[in-house]
Amino acid sequence: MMPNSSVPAAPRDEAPEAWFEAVYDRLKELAHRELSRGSRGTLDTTALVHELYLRMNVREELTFEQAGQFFVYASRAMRHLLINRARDRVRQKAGGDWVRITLSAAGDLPAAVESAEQALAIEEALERLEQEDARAARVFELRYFAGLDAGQIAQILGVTRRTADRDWRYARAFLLTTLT
Amino acid sequence: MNRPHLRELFDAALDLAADERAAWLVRQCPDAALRAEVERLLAADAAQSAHVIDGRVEQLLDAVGEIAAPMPPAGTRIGGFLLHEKLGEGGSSVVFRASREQAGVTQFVALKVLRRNLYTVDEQRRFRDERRALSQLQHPGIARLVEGGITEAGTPYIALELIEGEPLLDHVRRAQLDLAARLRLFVGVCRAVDAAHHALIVHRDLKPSNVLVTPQGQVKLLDFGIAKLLDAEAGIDSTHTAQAPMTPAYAAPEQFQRGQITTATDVYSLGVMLGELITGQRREAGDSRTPSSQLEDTAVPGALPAPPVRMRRMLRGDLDNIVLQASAEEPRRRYASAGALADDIERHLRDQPVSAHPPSRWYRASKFVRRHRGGVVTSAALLIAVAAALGIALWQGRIARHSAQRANAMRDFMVEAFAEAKPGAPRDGAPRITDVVSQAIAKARADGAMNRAVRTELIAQLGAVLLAQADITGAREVLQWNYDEARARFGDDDALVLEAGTPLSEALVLAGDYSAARVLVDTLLARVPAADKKRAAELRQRSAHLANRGGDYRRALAEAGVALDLARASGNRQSLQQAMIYLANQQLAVGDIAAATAMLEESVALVEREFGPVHLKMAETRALLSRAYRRGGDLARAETQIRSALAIVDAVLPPDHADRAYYLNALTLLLIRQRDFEGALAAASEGLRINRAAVGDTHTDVGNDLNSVGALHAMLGDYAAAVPPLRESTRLAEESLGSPHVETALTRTNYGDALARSGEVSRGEAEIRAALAQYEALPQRDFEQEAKAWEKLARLRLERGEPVTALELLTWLDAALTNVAAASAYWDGRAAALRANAVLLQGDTAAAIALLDTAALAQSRSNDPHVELATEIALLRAVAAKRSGRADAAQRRDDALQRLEQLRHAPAQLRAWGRELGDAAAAQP
Repeated sequence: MMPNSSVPAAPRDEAPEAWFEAVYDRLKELAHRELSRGSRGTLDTTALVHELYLRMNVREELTFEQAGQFFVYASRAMRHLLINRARDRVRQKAGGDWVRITLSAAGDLPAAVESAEQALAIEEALERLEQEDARAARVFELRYFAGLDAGQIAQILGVTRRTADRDWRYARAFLLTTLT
Repeated sequence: MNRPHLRELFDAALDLAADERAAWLVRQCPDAALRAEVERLLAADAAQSAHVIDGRVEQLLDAVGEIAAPMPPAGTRIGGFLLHEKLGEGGSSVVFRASREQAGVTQFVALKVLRRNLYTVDEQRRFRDERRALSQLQHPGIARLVEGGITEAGTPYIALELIEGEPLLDHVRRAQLDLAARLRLFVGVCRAVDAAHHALIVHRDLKPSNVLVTPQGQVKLLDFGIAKLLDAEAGIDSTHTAQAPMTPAYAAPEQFQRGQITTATDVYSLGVMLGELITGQRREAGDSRTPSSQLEDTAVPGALPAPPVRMRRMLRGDLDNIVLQASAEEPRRRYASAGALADDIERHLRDQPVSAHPPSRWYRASKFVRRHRGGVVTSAALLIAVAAALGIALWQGRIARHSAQRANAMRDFMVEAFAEAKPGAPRDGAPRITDVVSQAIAKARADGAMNRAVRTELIAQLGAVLLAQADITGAREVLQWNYDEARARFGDDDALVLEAGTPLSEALVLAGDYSAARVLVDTLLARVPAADKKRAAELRQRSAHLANRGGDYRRALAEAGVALDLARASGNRQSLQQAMIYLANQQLAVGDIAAATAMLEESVALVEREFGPVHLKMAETRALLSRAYRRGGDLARAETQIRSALAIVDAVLPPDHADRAYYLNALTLLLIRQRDFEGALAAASEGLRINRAAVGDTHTDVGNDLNSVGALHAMLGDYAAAVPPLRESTRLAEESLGSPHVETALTRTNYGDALARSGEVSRGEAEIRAALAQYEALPQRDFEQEAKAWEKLARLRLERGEPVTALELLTWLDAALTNVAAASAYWDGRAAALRANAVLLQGDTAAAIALLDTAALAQSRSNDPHVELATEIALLRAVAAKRSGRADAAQRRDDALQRLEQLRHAPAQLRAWGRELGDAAAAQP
């Protein structure tokens, strides 16, 4: 479809939630396709996020003032994707109304449930970190969920590389101590 | 509030060496609890843990896995169908037996429910488009699509004809079919696939379980095109790449590599399936061994059509080669189509030689194969390049007046249009520009959501492209629609109305509807803002052109002058160059050769300064200057100019570029003037070849070249060779320009003349008369062309010795000439010579001599000395003098024969008079 004037373009303060939803939907879509390809290689988040970036930019569904803003949303979207899947998985264990079919290549349900619980624990710890040190939490998000390196993160957040590096170390140490 | 403190302590400690930290912390942090926390953080930081957060999120994501949407249980209703038992399920869908009541009849279908919901409008639209295409696929060998839709919850479903049958492999085993029976069955599969390919539908997931055999022995292919239907991104990607579900064992390499999916993809799957059908086992991907070498003595009983030893012998050779060629890794090495694969198997069944070669010979055959299949592959790359180029061109042209967003919108639309373009048939190769553009226009017109201003502008641009590609009828319709829309929406005074009207005015001119064009051009000229000098220049130029076509050459000249002034004032060098060229054209039209030559010489200097000596604009200018020199009789300089124009084309453009054909046309005209008909025929033939390749067989330029080639054969006296190209050019003109149209009538006249002279007199004359009827039906009649057609008819009669009917025809010629605005001495001479010829046939030499004196006088006054006519007049005068026994007969004879000798390629009639005068040389053919 052709982008046209009805597409909400412009100031990024206008409707961040709408943007976020768009990024999230597309990411979910891409991730689904990657996975349904079966066992041929695992998902590559970095490639996924970049692919998403290209698609969204090319198609002008969204116009980001800065590329950085996109990655912030994308990492958040990936985080949501993980958490939603984990919740689905845990809910499935509890038993749903209908028979559900797993598309996971592994097919190992106990292991999948364990991973889901781990993901939920990470989410909980990350929420705590956000209360303590929001920037460190953001650095962790960009690194873990969007696959960016310290240099890229520093650029996006407008901090020095050293700061970004320190934030990462603090976030990691915080999460590790919280999780154990 | 001690938390920020925690972070500070952690950071500061990190700056110290590991063994200094403990002592430092004791000094800095008396709070033991806080200190313990810092120490835990530091320990965690130092640990080379293999915790999941040290890995990549995708590992965790994979481990959690995805849970599909819940599947509806039996008894549920979907899209009017009641679900019964589950028939099967795959990675992306579940199939149910389902039924519905319709007009008292229970219809059973196989209902496929997708596991994935389609939420966005885009996804749903693509699904519906694809479903519509599939519903048109009707073939006895293909399970019909009954219905398809999307439930309110967003779940897509497809109802297919429910086939009672056995999967292919089960069937051949159970029925214990022999090799020939298996092959015949497989040919049926190939034919069904081929039929779908002709409907532009690729299966993408062919495998034995998708092929059922009914109790009647009819093969039925399931799930045609379903793979694409399931492919969420198919419509977004710029090329058709493999994203969809497929079955790895039968999937072609390009499906794994996300390469381009073409009909060759299905041919690959057919090859694998054929291998399995005849050897009982599936070929592994990338296996280059022959099927016969893989037969195992321990094969499952019934899997093989015959015992292994016999099978090896039967497969070795042809069938090995057929399987290998069909399942070749590289798409272009495979069979060009499923039909070609079927043909080869049938040849094998009839014990005829097959086309498949052993691998070592594929390389030799690759050139041939590339011609068929490579075309498809390269076309995609080409399309992307063209799309990019066009996108940029649109963008550059519009950026000054519009926001970048709008320009980008148009560019993206075009890129998408190119990406979505499909060739007319799977093997047609690259889609033509006109196809792409027409599709794009249809899409833009149907797109109600598109910004109207963008749409108006876009369609104006696209219509102009269609015009440039000579789809005049199509362009006119589209541009008229666009103009009417723009007026209705924006009001007559809006700039967009001007934008939409300008290309429409060109279309009307090209369509020959001069009266409508005049009204529009005058309207637009009244509205164009004074500041928009560039557009004013273009419209004024068009107005000049209309005056020219109306025969008002003075007005045309004056308006072309105004256009030149406007172009100069616009400061746009491109406009200026065009205006100069156009004015020179008008000067040529009124016969002001000197002014035209001066204008063009100035233009050469301008182009040299602005664009450099080796530039296409220079080629254009030099070609026109060549024409001016030619008209001025300076054939040598004319030749220099046109040859240097061609040299520029050779230097600047790739070989066989369409522009080369354009200049070859000018060269052809010059060589005709030099009476080098062989050279002209060679140039015209080369132009024809280039144009056929460059613009397609149906372009008007091709028609024009065909007309030249045919006419030249006729000039060389080979009428039999002249007829076919002229017949084709007439047909082409009829199709692309329509009738009545000047060009159509012109080439029809030539066709009729050649036909008559090649022996089909009455048919030939009928064609010329039909052409005359067309001329007379033109909204703006071209009396000079009508005169030429009457002349051709009259000459045919004269050469057959029928002076009375010839004289009747000549009165029509005179009538036409009285309407020619710029009556010329040339035509006066010509008409008199023809009439003299007639009366001479009637034996009235005195009247003939009087007429010939008139003719000679008129001819000598003509500023366009015509050597053939001069020779004709001289010969007729000598013949008349001889027959009447006049004293100057010998002198006239010597003069006439000398002229005849100097005339290259003298027409047969002239040579006949030469013989009558006793010239031995003229007797030679």
